[in-house]
Amino acid sequence: MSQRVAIVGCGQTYHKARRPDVNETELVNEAVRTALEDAQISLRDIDSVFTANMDGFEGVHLSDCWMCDGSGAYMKPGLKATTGGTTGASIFFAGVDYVASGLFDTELVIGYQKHEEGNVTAGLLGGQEQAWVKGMMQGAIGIFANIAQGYMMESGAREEHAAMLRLKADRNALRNPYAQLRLNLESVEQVLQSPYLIPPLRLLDMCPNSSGAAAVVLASEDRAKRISGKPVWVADTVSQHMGWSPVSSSMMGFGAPGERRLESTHTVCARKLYRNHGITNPRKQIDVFEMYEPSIWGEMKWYEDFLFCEKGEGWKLVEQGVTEIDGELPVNPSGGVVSTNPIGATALLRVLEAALQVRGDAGEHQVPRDVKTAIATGWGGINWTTMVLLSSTL
Amino acid sequence: MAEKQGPEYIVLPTLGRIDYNWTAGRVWSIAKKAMRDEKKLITTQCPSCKTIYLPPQPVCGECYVFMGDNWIELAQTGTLLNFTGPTAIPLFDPAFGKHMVDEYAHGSIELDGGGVVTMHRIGEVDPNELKVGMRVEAVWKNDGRVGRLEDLMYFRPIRE
Repeated sequence: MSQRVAIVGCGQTYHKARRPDVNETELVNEAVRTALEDAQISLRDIDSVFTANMDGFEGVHLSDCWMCDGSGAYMKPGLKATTGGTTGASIFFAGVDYVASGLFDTELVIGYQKHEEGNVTAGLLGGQEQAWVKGMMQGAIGIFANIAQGYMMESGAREEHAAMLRLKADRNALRNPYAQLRLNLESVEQVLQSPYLIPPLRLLDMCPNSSGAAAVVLASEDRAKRISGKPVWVADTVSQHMGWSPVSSSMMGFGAPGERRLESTHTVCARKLYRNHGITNPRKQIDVFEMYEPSIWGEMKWYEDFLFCEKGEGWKLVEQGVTEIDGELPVNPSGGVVSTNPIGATALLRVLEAALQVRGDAGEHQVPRDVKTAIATGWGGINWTTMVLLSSTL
Repeated sequence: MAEKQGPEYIVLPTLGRIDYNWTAGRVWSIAKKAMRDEKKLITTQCPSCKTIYLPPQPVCGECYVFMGDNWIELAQTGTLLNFTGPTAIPLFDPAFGKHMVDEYAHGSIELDGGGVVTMHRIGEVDPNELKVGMRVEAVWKNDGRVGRLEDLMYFRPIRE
């Protein structure tokens, strides 16, 4: 019988484009101290430390080793994860499973990235099978340009819908002092003047590369109840991936139709999670959804993949304001990935932000309702989805 | 009044040239030789679920069946499924080590008879002309083919 696991502490840095004042160790140390303080415990109480980072982007591998003094990992067991965009979620899953096993009681889970020190596109393209992929793969930007074009053609969505969604993200980010991009965007017209990267994808449609760190304290049921007056229970974790299976690339076509259209990993995960928890109407039964969306076009299309609506209707939810901070199902009250993206931390930040919402501690970007159930997703690789279900009660 | 000096933080640039040699392996070498020597696209098909993979793979992910000996030749013509415009601002391309603009549109093509080429260059066309469903054909380099996807320079609209 596995242990129940709760989040009992959260900490993050103020995410920025550049942090020349800290190296990676110092950056992580800021988030760790904040999380320990939030949990009101000390490093002595921590059994194990789990660290996550996309090493390739800064060209510093085994970065968890170099920083074990500052991360709190010194002389403690733990693990490291490097799984693309899902990095922060993968390490969260590892942490949860260690506590659930009954072998560990109180853990620190850390995700971080110091993007300004390296080059993401270079890292992304070097991460693929270079023996096949040609030079103009164009990385995440190319993928989301394809998704944007394909989605508009199939659903009737227009660039204005992406602009409206980008405005939502910015409105929410302005309420989140930790977010990197807080732009005070004023209108759809302004967003539509953002330059194209690869048409039809604009600069504002894509996430930034942030330097930042996040840390979460996990505890088993007994310990959690002693540490925290408001433990946030991890009700479930689900993941599926097809990675860069050539089948998934071609059949999903990044938005293109094909003879055999595979269901996305998002949909496979959502069906499983919802079925296991009696969620038949996510819009009514989930209180907050922190979605991992590297592009605003991803968010729009993935309203469908996560079963908020029928295929082809995601843009209608945008028009209706369904996912606004005070809407029927708030999506990314934190401002989301388009506002803040330290890749090694980003998927963990979705969990952290969802946890703050459940606790009622998200300050100005707290959704105006009683939050009992929240979902946080991760996406990466290509086609690697993670979903976490958080609950205010056991 | 003198400006207050903030602390000085030292940033160390590091330039390294790293040479990699990635092995194509058994299955990809077969396909690459066909590209280099015969201007052909050949690939593996799962004998169980009949899925046509591109690029070819030794094992079908879904069926976990070995398909490294199950080769088919793909057509040189197909239909445009999706497309994006040329890069509008220079983006970093690690294959060349610098920021570059790619003046070609890119698109995904479903080849006649099966097989999808994703995000390949579309040439000899005004990007504004591109439409889903357009019929296109492969245009190969006449010389200098080495067994990379760039040997297939681009797809172009079939103009009757």
